[in-house]
Amino acid sequence: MAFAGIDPWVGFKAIVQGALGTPSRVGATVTKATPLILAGLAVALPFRCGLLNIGGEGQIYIGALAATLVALGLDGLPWPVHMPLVILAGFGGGMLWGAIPGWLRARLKLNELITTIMLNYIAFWIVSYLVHGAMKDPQGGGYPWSVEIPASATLPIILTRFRINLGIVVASVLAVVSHFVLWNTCFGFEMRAVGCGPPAARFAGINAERTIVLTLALGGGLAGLAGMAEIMGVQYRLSDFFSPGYGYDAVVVALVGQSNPVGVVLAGLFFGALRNGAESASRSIAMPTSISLIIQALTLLFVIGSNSVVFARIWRKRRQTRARDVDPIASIH
Amino acid sequence: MLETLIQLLLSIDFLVASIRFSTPLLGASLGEIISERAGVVNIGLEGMMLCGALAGVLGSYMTGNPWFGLLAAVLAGVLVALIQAFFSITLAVDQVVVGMALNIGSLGLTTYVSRLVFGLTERPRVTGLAPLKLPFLGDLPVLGPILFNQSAVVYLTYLLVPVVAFVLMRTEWGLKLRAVGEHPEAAASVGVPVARVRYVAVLLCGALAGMAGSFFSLVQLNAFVEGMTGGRGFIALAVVIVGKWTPRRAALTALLFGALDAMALRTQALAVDLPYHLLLALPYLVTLLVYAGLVGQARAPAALGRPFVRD
Repeated sequence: MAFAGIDPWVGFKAIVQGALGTPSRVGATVTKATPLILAGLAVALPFRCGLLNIGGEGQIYIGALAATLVALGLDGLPWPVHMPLVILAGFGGGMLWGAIPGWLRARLKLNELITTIMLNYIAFWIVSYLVHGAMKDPQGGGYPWSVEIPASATLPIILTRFRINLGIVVASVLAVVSHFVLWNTCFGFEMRAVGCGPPAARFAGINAERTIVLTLALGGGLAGLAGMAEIMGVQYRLSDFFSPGYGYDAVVVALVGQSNPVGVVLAGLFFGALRNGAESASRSIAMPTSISLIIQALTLLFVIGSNSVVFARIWRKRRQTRARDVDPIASIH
Repeated sequence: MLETLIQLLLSIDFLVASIRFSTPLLGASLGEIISERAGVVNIGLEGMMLCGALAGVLGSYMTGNPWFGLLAAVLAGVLVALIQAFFSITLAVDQVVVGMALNIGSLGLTTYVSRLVFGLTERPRVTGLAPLKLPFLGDLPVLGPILFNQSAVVYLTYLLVPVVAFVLMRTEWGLKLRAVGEHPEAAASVGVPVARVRYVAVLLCGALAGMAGSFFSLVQLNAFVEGMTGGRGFIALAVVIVGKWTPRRAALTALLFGALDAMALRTQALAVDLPYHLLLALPYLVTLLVYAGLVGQARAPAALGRPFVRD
């Protein structure tokens, strides 16, 4: 910040004010946090199973696509029927896009890093193709986006003063469910066991292949919901640039949240605030938004760095030497 | 339509472009081969390339000499690699996570710096590395324009293929490097300085990735665009796997992906009645299919991704 000729303190204040200054800004922070939490869970659960899901972005796009198709295709249904169907479609679409790398990993031993990244690009270009062609709104003024979704498929605003939509409730509920699944169910135990090492898990009678496919499919479904929430709660139209990299931010959210559903919610809120704050600071004091990406990377490096085993070892050694230093004095008395 | 397509695929233009587009993939994947053979996964390739692309433009912009741009690109790659090395070797944290952080940070940093230097609207064109026609060879029919009228970065990258292969497979240092990547404990027990070898490997990888990044900004476009590497760093990771961690196979794989890139762009320019958005997805789809088709054939270095902490 100092390099850009902006006083860091002023910049920092602008970010905090932009993120939390007024009720509507708090609302925007929560709205931005919604896809981050959902996509963050989509990284956190597979991470417990020893899988790094970098495919959030593609799963978001396919989830949003499936949800939009159901939202537009089943127009005319009442909200209590239509909305759940749209949510299911978002989950299903993401699940499909998560199950592919899961299957490739379990059956063919393909590294999920490579496959998910490739699937991200493929998903993006599929959506791009559709919103430039078959799904393009004829009255859209030439913009590559779909027709606006009907009101019966939207996530309604629940707190008018804050402009917060139902999406955050969906995200919070799923965070609780994820926590429960991870720690209180057989499947959660199997996931964590496979994360400790597939051979050991197999020895304990766990079907590691099935667990891997299911975990990545579940993760994909959660990311798909992030895409659904962004279209149905915020943008109301499918376009090909609707996600500003939520799927990649999600990796940071999940790791800073220590792959723990509660931690993911907190980290999601923090990075939602950062993104929202940086955006409004770019308007108020002309600070580039890209600063938020730099802060994200630094936070992640700081968190993983401070968790390093090397530090743990140095601390332990220091404590031991100190104990030794103290000992002789104690023996004198 | 099929005729135009075949004509396109056989045109000299297309073959020149294929070799050009394969260059950044090959450069970055050569670096990644060195790093992975030493046991360090470097997912941060994309970020190193992006920093290289920006540094290349800055170097050329400030000095007016594209060769200083290339040098700056290499240095930028090394600097980013230094962070990767410190975290993944000295602090022994998850290498993939560090790489992710570097990718995100590099995207933010390069966007930030380019706006700072060039402003929001301006995108100055700088002197790039123009095609260098080699004497005699460049005058050969057909082969001349395809192989010997390319940019210096292209020659340099392809010259590095046998060099890297030789160093890895035929020198003592290469043997140590591979030992460190296969079994660091054993290597350490016979006195190989594991951490130092890994540091050198990662920094070399950064240098090559930085050079590969400069291709985008000094050969292809002569300017910097935010996020201009467009995921090529990730494709380079796939090139390493499909190329089975050997420079020569990596070169062939990079050529294949370069051709796909060239095809997607050429058909777009030709305005043939093809779904161009889907064509742009083709390189990624083919990467996935080729990768899936290689099942069980490729074997990664045994200690890949495993940090080594001395007791």
